[in-house]
Amino acid sequence: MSAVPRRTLAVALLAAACVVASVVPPIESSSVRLDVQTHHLAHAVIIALGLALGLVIASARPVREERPAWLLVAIVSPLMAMLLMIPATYDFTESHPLLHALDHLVFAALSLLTAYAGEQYLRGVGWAAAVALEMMAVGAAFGYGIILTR
Amino acid sequence: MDFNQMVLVVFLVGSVLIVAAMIGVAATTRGAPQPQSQVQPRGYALRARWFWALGAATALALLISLPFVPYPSNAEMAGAQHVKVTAQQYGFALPATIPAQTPIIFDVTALDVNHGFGIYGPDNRLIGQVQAMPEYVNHLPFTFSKAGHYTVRCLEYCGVGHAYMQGAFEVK
Amino acid sequence: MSEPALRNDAAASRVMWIYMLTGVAIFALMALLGLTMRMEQAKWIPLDPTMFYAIMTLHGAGMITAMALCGMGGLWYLMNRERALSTLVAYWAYALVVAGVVAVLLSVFPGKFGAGWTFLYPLPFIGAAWPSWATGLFLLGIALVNVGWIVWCTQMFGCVVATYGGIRGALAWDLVFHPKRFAASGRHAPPPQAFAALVAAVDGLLAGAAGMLVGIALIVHWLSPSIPLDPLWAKNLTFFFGHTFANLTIYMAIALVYVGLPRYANREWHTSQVLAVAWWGTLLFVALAYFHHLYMDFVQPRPVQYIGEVVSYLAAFPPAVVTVFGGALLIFRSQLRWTMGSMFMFAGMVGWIVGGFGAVIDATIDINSTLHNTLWVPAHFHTYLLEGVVLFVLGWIFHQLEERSAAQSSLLMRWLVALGIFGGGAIFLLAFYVGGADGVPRRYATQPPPGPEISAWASVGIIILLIGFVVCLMEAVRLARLRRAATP
Repeated sequence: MSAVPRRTLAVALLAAACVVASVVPPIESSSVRLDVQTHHLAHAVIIALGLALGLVIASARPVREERPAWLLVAIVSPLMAMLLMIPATYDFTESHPLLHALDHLVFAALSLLTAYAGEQYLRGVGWAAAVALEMMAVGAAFGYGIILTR
Repeated sequence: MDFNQMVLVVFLVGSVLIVAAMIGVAATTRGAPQPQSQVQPRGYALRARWFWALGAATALALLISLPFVPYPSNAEMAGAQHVKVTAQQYGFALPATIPAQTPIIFDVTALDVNHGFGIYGPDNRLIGQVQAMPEYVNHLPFTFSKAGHYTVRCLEYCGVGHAYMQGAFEVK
Repeated sequence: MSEPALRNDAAASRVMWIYMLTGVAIFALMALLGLTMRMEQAKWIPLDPTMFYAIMTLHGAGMITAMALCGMGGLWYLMNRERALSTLVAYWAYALVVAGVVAVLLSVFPGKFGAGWTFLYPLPFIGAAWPSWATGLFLLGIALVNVGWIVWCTQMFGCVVATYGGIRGALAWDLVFHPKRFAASGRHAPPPQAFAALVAAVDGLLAGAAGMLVGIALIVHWLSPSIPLDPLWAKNLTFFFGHTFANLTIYMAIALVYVGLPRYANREWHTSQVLAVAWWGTLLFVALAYFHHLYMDFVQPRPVQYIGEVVSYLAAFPPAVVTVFGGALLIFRSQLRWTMGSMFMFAGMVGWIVGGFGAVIDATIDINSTLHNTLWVPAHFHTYLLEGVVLFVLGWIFHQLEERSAAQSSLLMRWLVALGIFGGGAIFLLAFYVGGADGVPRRYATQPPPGPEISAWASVGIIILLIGFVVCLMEAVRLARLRRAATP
C-alpha cells in the first residue's frame, strides 16, 4: 500500500471513530448519568481522536515556513475547547442527547483544528498543541468541578 | 545555636566560598593570558572531578536528609494521641493544653481557604509546620519534650488578617 | 567585534528593545513597590493591610512578568539569528502580555485585589477585601499574560524544531550518542542558546497548559460559584505554572550570557556533548521541581515529595557543573575586557549559584519544615532573580550599548554601580536570610520580632541598591546617546 491511500484510510477510520465516540454514547445511553470525572475523561478521549485526525490530515503537506495566521487558530481552538468543558453543563447536556452529541462534535472539531492549525503554522507545532490540549483535558478530570479528598 | 541558625551559617560559609572562588577566577584575567585551547583540557579534567565530588555530596545529603521527612507512618498514626486543629480566617480552633512527652498527631484542616499551621516554641523559634487546607486533613506528628507556652502562626497567606492569625497552647 | 549574524536587522532589534525596555520599566516600578513593603514592615511608613497585600500581589506577578519579558525578547533576538522569525508573532505575544499586565494593574489599582500572585483557590473568592470585578480582572490578566507566553513558546518550539531537524536534532541527540557519524555528516549542533530556547519552549508550554487549565477553572468558578474545584489540584497546577514560569526566566536569560560573555573574553562557547546532556537534565528537572512547593501538604502522594527533593538537588548540576563552571572556564586566564556588560554577566552567574544554594537547602524536606513560608523563600529567589536574571539582562543591554557606541564606562563608574547593586543587594538579601532563619513568616504586613528590625536593614539595602540602579541607568542613557551619535 502506498503512503497516500494509507493516510486516506487513517483519516477515514479516525473520522469515523471521532463521530461514533461523539454521537453514540450520548444517544445510546441517554439514561446513564456519568460522574464529572468520567465525563471529563470521556471528553478527553474524543479530543484525543480529534487531535489524531488533525495531525494525520496535516501530515499530507508539511509546512516549512511560519504562517502566523494559523498560529492564532492553533491557540484559540484549544482555549475554546477548554472553555466549553464546563462541568455545570454536564447534567443539562445528559438530559438532551442531541445537544450533547453536538457538544461532543464541537470538541472533536476544535481538537482537529488545534492539531491541524498547529501543523499549518509550522511543522511540529501541531504535536505540541495536541499534547498541551490533551493534558488539559485529562488534567481537568482530577479537580475541575470535582473534589477528590484523600 | 538552633537548627535553623546552623543552616544559616552553612549557607553563609558556602556563599562566601562561592563568591571567593569566582573572584579568584575573575582575578586571573589580570595575569598572563593563555589560549583557550590550553585552558580547556585542564578545565574539563577539573570539571569531571567537580562533578563526582558534587555528586557524592548530593548523594550523601539525600541519604542523610530523606529519612527525616516529617510525614507520619501508619504506626505513628495508630499509636499517637490525635489533636484536632481547625483553621479559619483569622484564627485557630485547637485544645488549650497538650501533654508533654506524648506522641501527638495534629489533624489539621481549614474551613475556608488555605492556611498554614506553624508552631513556635516558648523561645519563639519555629519548630514545625503543616498546611491547613479546606477539604483535606493533614496529619502532623509531633512530640513535645519541653513544657511551656507555644504560639501558633498562620504560615500560608490567607487574606488581609493573615499577619494577625494566631493561636496558642500550653504543653504540660 | 561586529555582529556575526547578518539576519538581525533593525526590525529584529526593535522587537528585542521593546520587550527588554518594557521589562526593565516594569521591574523599576515593582522594585519601588518592594521598597514600599519593606519600609512598611520596618514601621517607617504606615500602610493599610489591604493596600500592602494588593501591592504584594502586584509585586510578585509583575516582577516575574518583567523578567519573562526581558528573557523572551532577548532569546527571540538570539534565535532570530538562527532562523528568521515572524516579527508579527513576536508582537502578538508582546501585546497579549502587556494587555495582561494592564489588567492586573487595574485589578490592583484601584481594584485592591490582594490574594497574592499565587491566587490559591479559594482565597480569591472568600473573605475578600476587594470587589468581585477585581478578582475577575486579575484572573483575566494572568490568563492574557499566559496566552502571550504560550504564543512565544509556540514560536520558539516551531523555530528549534524546524531549524535543527525535529526534537531529536534540537536535543543534539546524535551529537551525544553518535558523535562520529554526526561529525562525518557535516551537520552542526545547535548553539548553546538554542538549548535555552528548546527548554523554555517545551517546559513553558507544559506550564502554560497547566496555568491555562487552572485559570479557566478559576474564571468559570468566578462566573459560576457553584462549580467546585479541588483545592489540592488547584494548588498543584498553580505552582506548576508559577514555579516553572519563574524558573524559566533564568534559563532564558542565561542564553544572553552564552552569546555575550564569549565576545568579551574573545573565546568561544560552543555546544559539547556535556552541555547538551546538561540541558536535557534541565528540561526534565524544571518540569518536576515544583513539587518542593507542596512539601508541607502532607496529603500529597508521598513519592512526589521524594521526587521533589531529589529533582531539586539534581537541578543544581547543570548550572553548577556545566553552565557557570563553563562560564568561569571561559574567562579563566582570558583577556576579558571588564566593562559594565561583562561585570554584570559574570556577577549574575555568582548570584545564580548562591541563590541556587539557598534554594537547594530549602528544597530539603526536613529543613523545609522550619523554613517554608518564612523569609528564607523570598531570600533565595530574590538572590537569583535580582542578582542573577536582572544582571544577565543588564549585562546584555550594556553589551549592546557598548558594542554599538564603541565606548565603555570608567572604572569609577563601574565601582559605583558595583557597590550599589552588589553591596546594597547583599544587605537587602542578608536581611531576608537572617529573618528566614529566625522563623519570621513571609507575606506578613505586620511582622513579629525581630522582623521589623530586619526590615529596616533590608530597606537600607534596597535604597543603596536603587541608587546603584539609578547610576546605572544614567550610564546606560549616556552610552545610548553615544550610540546614536555613532550611527550615521
